[in-house]
Amino acid sequence: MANDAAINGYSEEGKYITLISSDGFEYVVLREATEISPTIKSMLRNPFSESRTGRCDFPEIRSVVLEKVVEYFHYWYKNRDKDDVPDMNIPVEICLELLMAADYLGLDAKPTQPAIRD
Amino acid sequence: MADEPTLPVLSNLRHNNPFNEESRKRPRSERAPPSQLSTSSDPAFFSSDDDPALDNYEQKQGRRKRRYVGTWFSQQPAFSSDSFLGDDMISEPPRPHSALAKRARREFRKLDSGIYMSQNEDSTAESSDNYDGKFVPRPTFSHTRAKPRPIAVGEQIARDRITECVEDGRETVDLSGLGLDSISDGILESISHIAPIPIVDKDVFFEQRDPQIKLFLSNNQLTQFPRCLLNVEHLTDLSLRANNLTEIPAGIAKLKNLQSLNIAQNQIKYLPFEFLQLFRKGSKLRSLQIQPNPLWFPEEWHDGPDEFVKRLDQAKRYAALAGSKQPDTKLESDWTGLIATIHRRSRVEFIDSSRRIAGFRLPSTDRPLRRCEMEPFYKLAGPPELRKQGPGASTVRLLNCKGARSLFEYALAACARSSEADDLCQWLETEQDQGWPEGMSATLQEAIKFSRDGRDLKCSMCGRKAVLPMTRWVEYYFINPAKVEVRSDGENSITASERFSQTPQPEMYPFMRFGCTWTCVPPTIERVEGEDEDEAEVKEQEEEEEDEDTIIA
Repeated sequence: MANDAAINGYSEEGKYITLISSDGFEYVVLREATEISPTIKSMLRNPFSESRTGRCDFPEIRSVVLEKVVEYFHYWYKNRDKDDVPDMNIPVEICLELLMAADYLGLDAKPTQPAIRD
Repeated sequence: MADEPTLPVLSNLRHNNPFNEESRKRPRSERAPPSQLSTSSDPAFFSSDDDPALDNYEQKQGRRKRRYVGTWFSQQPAFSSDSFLGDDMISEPPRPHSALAKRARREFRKLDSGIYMSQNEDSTAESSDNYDGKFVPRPTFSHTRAKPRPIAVGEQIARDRITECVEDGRETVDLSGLGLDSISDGILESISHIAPIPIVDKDVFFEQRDPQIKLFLSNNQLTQFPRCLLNVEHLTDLSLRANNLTEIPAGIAKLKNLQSLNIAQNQIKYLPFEFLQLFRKGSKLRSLQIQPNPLWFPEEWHDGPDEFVKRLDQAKRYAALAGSKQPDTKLESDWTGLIATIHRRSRVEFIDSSRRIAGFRLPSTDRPLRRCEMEPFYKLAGPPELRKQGPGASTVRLLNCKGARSLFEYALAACARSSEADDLCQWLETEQDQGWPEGMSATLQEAIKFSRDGRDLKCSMCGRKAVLPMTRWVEYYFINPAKVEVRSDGENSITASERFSQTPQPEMYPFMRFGCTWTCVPPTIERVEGEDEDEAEVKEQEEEEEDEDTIIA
């Protein structure tokens, strides 16, 4: 659905973007939720092909890991202003890869709200 | 019609032919199958079964169901004599010779048992090979565990002494001077099993009291506080004098029954902030020996008497803002113990997520310099200017402590919790140049250290859980004996000890505090008129000092 939107060319301000893992899985995510990642944000802002299509390819990240990342995006988005945030559960098997992915996506610092940030 | 090919002759019509003698059916004997009545222990079902004449119906060699023994892939007809049908089968061919059978069994190899026993390592390796990921290296742990280290002589003696104490119900465990450089949790843990033997005598009220365990570990070479001690609830006396400890874990606050603690003659630089929970009204700690230790000391050590009083006043207001949020306990009876009062606070150290320290830094634990820079209470600690470092720089501000923690923190916590955390750390160190970010192993090591401290690292300002501290500062406290008398109207009055009033500058101890974000910094107190001059003086002094420093430099 969002895919079509991306292909049809009105993705520049589209609500959703697509993240693609190394093994070809595609995840459709709220654009606003991905904005905490400075890496993705700059991918979408600058005149790269990603900003036209709204599709970000991550050939380094496995689908299992990317799924967790996507889960985090929504988890963060849901808990933006909350004070008591339940802990996110992370399986030990992927924690090292997730650590690396988080570092790569710039999710290492405590994210601030976009509105406050800029 | 003649050309019509002839149909092949049906080869097997025997089953249709009732007259064919070579029926595949087993010939039915005329005799009925043997009745099992003779061997059955069930009572007769029908009334006619009672008739003893019916026993005659039982016939030998009747038609029976074929029976087989063996697994489904190597079955053989049963020639057993242990059949419930009785001994009538003994006439069948005997079993193969037992020795032969044994040898045959040894040589037999099952090709496929029909059950797939999955092995974890193999299956994960297979599944991970399926993807052609390029950059994510995967740790390969050697599955040969390190051999358990041999128990040192000192440790053996310690174990024997502890077992003795547990068996005799003695509460004083003396493990001093055994030359221990580490003591395994398994050995030390058992001191929690010590239970005093109650006195059973005439005219003595039987009472099962809680144990009061006294542990002496002095004059050893311990480099780490034994973590398992933090779970020994009834530990009342603990001596770790003359060891090589560098830190006291924050979990020490769990030892609520501690009455006396001796940590002198170690390498301790600062104490954990949580330790202060033991210096409150109603707590049991009465005797504390900290010095000598290479503690960080504050600069501007010498105050005039006026300044000292002024500072005390400021400190009181600061403590009201920043002190621990726990409610004050109302006391039922008089109490004497130790009470901590804040006096100074150091500057705040800001650490970013890759564990770089920006701007001011506290004295490092491995450098000999121990002087700690101070900051007045009314000064707001602000993060230093950040270097711009590309697109990611905007989130490094760490300014919002609302909302979820970062994914990095969650993943780090998961790593630190895992049972293979130490292996991960080692692996990260060896694979440093394989595209892993710099300092990752150090970060992980720090996280492991905090997760093993016997508590969740909690931000001392906002109280949220954290994985790693983002701000650190040192607060200096006086610890002095105090006495609380409960007045008749229920009010508590604290009288500081005489020692405190006599010596204007008693010893101060540094307590390290953590914040989880860069906004979790010490609060600022409002200025009261008349302090401005003071501040101006301080500023002047600081400037002077700076000048001096520059001159020296």
